[in-house]
Formats: sequence, C-alpha cells, structure tokens
Amino acid sequence: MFSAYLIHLLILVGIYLILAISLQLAVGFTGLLNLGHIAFYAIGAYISALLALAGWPWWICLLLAGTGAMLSGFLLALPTNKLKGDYLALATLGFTFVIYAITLNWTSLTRGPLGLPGIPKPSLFGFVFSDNFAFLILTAIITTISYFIIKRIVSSPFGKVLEAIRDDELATRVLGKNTFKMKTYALGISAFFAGIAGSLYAHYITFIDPSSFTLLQLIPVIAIVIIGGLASLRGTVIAAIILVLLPEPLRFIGFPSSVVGPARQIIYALLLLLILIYKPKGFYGKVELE
Amino acid sequence: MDKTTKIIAWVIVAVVIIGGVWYEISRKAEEHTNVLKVGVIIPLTGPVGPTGKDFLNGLMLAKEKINPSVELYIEDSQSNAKDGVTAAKKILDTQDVDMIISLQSAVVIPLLTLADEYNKPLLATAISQNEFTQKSKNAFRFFPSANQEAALAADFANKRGFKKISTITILDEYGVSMKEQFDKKFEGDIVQEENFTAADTDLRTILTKISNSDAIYFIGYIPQYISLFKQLKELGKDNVVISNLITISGSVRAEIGNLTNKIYATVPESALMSEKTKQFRKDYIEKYGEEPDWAAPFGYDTMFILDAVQKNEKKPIEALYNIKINGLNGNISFNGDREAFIPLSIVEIKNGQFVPYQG
Repeated sequence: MFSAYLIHLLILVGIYLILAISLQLAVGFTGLLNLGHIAFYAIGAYISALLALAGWPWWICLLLAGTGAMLSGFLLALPTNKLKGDYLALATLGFTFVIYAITLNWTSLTRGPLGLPGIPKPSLFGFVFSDNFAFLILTAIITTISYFIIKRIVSSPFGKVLEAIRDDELATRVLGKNTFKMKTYALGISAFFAGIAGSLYAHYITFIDPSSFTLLQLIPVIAIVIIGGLASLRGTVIAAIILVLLPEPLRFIGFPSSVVGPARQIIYALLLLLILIYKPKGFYGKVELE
Repeated sequence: MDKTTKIIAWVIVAVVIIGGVWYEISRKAEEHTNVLKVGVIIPLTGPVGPTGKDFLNGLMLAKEKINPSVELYIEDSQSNAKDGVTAAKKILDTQDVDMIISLQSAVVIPLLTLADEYNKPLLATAISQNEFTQKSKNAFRFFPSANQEAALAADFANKRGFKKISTITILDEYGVSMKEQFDKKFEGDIVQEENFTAADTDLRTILTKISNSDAIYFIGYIPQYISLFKQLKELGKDNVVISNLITISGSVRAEIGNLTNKIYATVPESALMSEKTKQFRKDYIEKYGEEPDWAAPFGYDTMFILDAVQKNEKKPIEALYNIKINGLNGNISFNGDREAFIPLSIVEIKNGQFVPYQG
C-alpha cells in the first residue's frame, strides 16, 4: 500500500544525498561556501533533458550532465578563486541567478518558463527504468557509487590537502601546495555530482522548468549539510534521510484545511530548530562554518 | 550515540509513530465509505500559495453549501513540482483516490505523468498552454486556454482600432502562453515588449519606458496587478490597459479605485456580478472576512463538478464528459477534447466596478 509512496521518497533521498555529499565536499571539506550548487544541479538537469529529448542514450546524457556541470564548476572557480567566506557565497549566489536567468530567457533552447515536458525515463541496454522500483535501484546504485567516490576523495592525500586549505589556506600555500588548483578541482568534482543528481531528477520527474532550480531549492540541501555536520559524510547521510522523510509523517496529521500547508511547515521548521539547538555543530560536525 | 542525539532520534520516532497512528485511525474510519475520493494538490505555501488558498476557500465554501458526499484529501504542493509529486504519490498510494484536482502549470504538468500512471483523471485549473489537454486522455482543463483568453483580448484591440500596443507580461508559462497567442492574433504592431518575474512588484522602470502605444497588454499575478495600478497612478500615466481575469480579484479591484485610466479585462461570467455571483461574494466575505480573488469562483465551481461526478453512476473519467452544471463561470461541461468552455466577456472597469463593455 505504501510501497510506491515510499519508493518515491527513497528516490528523493538518493537524489538529495548526491546533492548534499557533493556540496559537503566543497563546503565541509574545502571550506568553500558555495551557494551556486543548485546552478550545477540545473545545468545537469537541462543538459540531460535536452540530450535525451534529442534522442541521445541515457547513459551519455548522464555523463555529459556531470561533465557539463563540472566544466561550469571550473569556470566558476576562475573568477572566485581569491574569494572566501561571505564574498565567495555572494559570488556563487550570483552564479545561481545567472543560470536561472539563462534557463528562463534562452527560450529557443530551454523553452523558458514553458519548461521541458516529456523527458524520457532512463534506459540501459534496452531496459527502460519506467517502473519506480527499477528507478530506485538505479538511484541507489548511482548514489552508492557517488558516496564511495567522494569518501575515497576525502580520505586521500588530496582530501587532506582540501581540509588543510579549509583550516588555513595560507599555511597550505606556504607548504608548496597549489591551492588554486586544488580548490578548482574540488569545485569541479562537487559540480560533477550535482550535475548527476540533476540528471536523475529530470529523468525521474520527467518535467523541468526554471522554477525547479531557484534559491529556494538550495535551502534544504544546505540544511542537510549543516544538520549532518560539516565535513561528515556519515552525518550527511543521516541528515538527508531525516530531512527528506521528516515532513512526511506530518502529512498524516489531520490539520484543518485552512492551516494544513503552513502548519506542517511550521512544525517541520520547529523540529529543525530543535535539532540545531541541541546539536549546534550538526549530528557529526567536525568543524564550524566561518 | 550521545544523549542529545538519542533525544532527537526519539522525537523523530515519536512524530513518525503519532503520525502513523493518527493516519491509521482516520483511515479505519473511512474504510467502509463509498464516496468519491478526490486528491486536492494545490499550492498553499510558496509563491502561488495565496492563489491556492483562494481556490481552496471557494472549494470549501461550496462543500459547506451543498454538503456533497465527496471526500477531499488536501495536500500542499508548496508551489513546486517535487513537493507536488510527493504529495500526489502519498494520496494516490494511501487513499486510493478516484481523481485529482490541481492548479499551477509547474505542478500540473508533472502530475499528469502520475495521473496516467495510475489512470486517474486530473482536473486542472490555472494552466493556459493550449496543448495541455492533448497530452493525455486524463487531462481535463477547467480554465480558459491562452488561445481563448488572449485571442479575445487581441480581437478587442483590433476592433477598437488600436495600432500600436506594448506588452508587459510575466515571465512564466502563463505569461508566455498568453503573449504568444496575443501576438498571433493582434493585427497591429507590438511596439514594446517587457517582462518581469513573479518576484517583481516594482514596475516603475518598465512603465516609464512605455511610450508611443495606444494601449498596454498586461499579464501578471495579483501582486503585479496591484503594483501596476498603484504605480500608473504614481507616475501619472493614463495609458489604456487591457488585462485579464486576475483583474477581478478583490485585492486588485480595491487598488483600481478611482483611476482615470481606461481599463478593460477579459473575464469569465463570474465577474459580471449576476445574482449568483453576488450571493457567492457575500457568502465568501461572511465566511472568510475578505473579498474573493480570481481563483475562488473556480474552486467553488469545482466542487459542483465533483458533486455532479459523484452523482453520476459512471466512472469519474466518463462522468466528467457527461456533466452539465450551471456555475459561477456559466454553463460548464467538458467537450471531447476535455476542455470546459468558459464563456468570456470584455468588461470595462469604472470606479472599481465591472461594467460589461458595450462596444
């Protein structure tokens, strides 16, 4: 009875998990307060949707979605490399607005506000993932691969350098590390996985429009990263599960129709506040956001 | 796991259990009923929240009035596709609803995929793009299409002999669809094209730029209409404005006040203040303490449509083709293309009142 609903929620958990662990790589491990993550998600979704609608095989769409987002990440790293903290946040936020404006106004490519309907479900070697359970398996596989790649990256010497950059960039540079290159790689890799998540979203919902990629959509992803705890992949996983699933039981509480929407959101926000009051560094946070 | 983590975990578990138990209790009470079950997936929060709330108010007002044996399962789409789909999944999987009603194109279009998957009719409001009902046999539209609404406005402009028009339209599915159709049908020149987004309410820069045109064709939402009329007054501009059904919203009418501009709008019959509409408005103000906006009459009529579907012995999808109701929006029935033809008229607005345009 609940199966299809639960499957849907688990698919969303998977997509949000990829988005959050990739943002964790930039924010938690490298110290880059990147508010442009939702733009990479949008780039991935649009590349994948446009190519799929043009008849390209899904797996190529997926890879090109990640690659396109990664190239955008490299591009964003160039002008923002010397920025830190609030300034970097503002610059990357600007990038989100630029991408939003492009998706909205480049109507000959993106159909602008009309969006892209009828995005096909993924297919691999002739097997179409039209059934949601099959899509869940696909999402689970991609999420698991993404998790282990990022885990491997952050545990590697490269990951340790990223953490060093986060803690003291000048000292890291004094030690002879090219921090510009390292930060560019970190942002690019982070963007790659955001693009992959965007592709999964587009092929799952089968319709995208610019309103799916506004700043509002970034808030839950950042909330997952902060509540999970900076620089903690384990915390991010737990937070992704909790934050995506937590609003759902609230749907079963029979509020009067006049307050049903706001009441649920208020309770959800209060629960998040409670978590942060009792766990100010998130579930497993290792560092504090500067 | 330390103490605070345990507390948090227990709070979450408690919410899940309480929610689950609550659901089970309410579900058991409903198990043996034999009524039309309808999933209502509308924006109650987010940018389109006020419109969704207005629609819901109209729906509940009619429910109270006719007391139909229809069960509504109301969910908030939060004005976005992801949450709209999640809400619909929940309703379709746990309540086994017979049909879905929804509004706002960004949510309605992805819901159509679900409606097809579950083979349930989807009755949609506030979606203008012409091809919507052609996408699926489950897609029913209870709203004027862009073709109908914008074409009437263009026809009016042609008959009035306007040669030069400036368009100011919102940059979303609604605005783009309407503008496309207006451009196609208007025989004069579009001398200036301006856009704004749903977040914009300061239209002064745009209005200052408008010149050398016989009229402005304006499409936006309630906040932009309020800004438009307020700022036209501030800037002392006396342009003729051609607008649409959103102008009938109570909050917009209040702003029009004693503007000297000539304002024309394409509106459904619900705006013409028949006895039925007057009574609706009176009941609405009595119940909610405010003027209804444009979506409330659609919500009100939707409940009559649901009542007619419930009373029909056929399946909801077949019943929808057969219903005939006399609602606030005129005589409503769905044609073979699943479109409810809503008769539209041109009204002139004088001192905040709608007067049928006499031509």
